[in-house]
Amino acid sequence: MTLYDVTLPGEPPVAHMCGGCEEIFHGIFGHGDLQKWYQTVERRDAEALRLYIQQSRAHELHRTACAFRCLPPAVVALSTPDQLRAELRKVQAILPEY
Amino acid sequence: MERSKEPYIWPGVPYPLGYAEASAATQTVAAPLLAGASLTLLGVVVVDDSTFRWPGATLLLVVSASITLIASIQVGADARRFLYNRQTLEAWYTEDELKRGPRALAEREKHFIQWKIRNQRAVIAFNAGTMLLIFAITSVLVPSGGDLAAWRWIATGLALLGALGEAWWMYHLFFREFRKRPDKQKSLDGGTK
Ligand SMILES: [Zn+2]
Repeated sequence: MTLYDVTLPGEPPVAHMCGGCEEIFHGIFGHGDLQKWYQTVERRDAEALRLYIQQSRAHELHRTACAFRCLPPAVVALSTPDQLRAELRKVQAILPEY
Repeated sequence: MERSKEPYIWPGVPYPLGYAEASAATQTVAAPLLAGASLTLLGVVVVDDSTFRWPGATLLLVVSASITLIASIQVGADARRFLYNRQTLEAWYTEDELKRGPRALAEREKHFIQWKIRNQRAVIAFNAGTMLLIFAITSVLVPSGGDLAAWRWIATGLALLGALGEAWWMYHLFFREFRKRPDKQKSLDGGTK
């Protein structure tokens, strides 16, 4: 697979890895996606946040035991380890299930 | 609520680990070659546009291919500044200095994210550039009448086929499955795809 990725003229996009469960996922994310997440978390509305997490397909990304399973793909892809921990703490303060 | 201890978290690395190397090779070897080729093609079309069926459209395609490919070289070089590993840090700092936590160490993870974002743009530019170049070549080949028309139509068909193949491949690369379901993944065949 990797050989084809390199030799064929089309260059594969950057893959992302969750720092918590090491699952690989694909996708092109931008600051806009991150901004939407920050805004949703800031509202501190549990139902809205739950819905956002579900619609972001976070549950498809992570392993079930991953500590960061509440974090959407865009957040996982564009955050440093420190930022991931900070986002997790924010979610935990709003949603008791994580 | 007993979620006391901090969860472990891995540092950011390219996946597969050789990806960054391969990506740099594409941007420093393949892209300049293709950019050079499209500039040569540009020269040909500008000098004599009488043998082309649609000289205007051809010129536009060739120019956009050149610009996009050159952009991919530049954006790729810009991205590459943000990618370095522990060895680079060890080359610039002594062990004691690293223990004191220099700025470069603190910024490593942020820079890795920067590399991902910028390199993604370079990849998109490179792929768009190759696509445009193939379309440019196709439009150069379309005959404007004359003896060689049949041969040039065949060549045009081949170029179009190449374009379709390339387009299919890029579609496969960019819109592949978001992720395999976790439970199905580690099963029977021991993880081989
Ligand atoms: Zn995870």
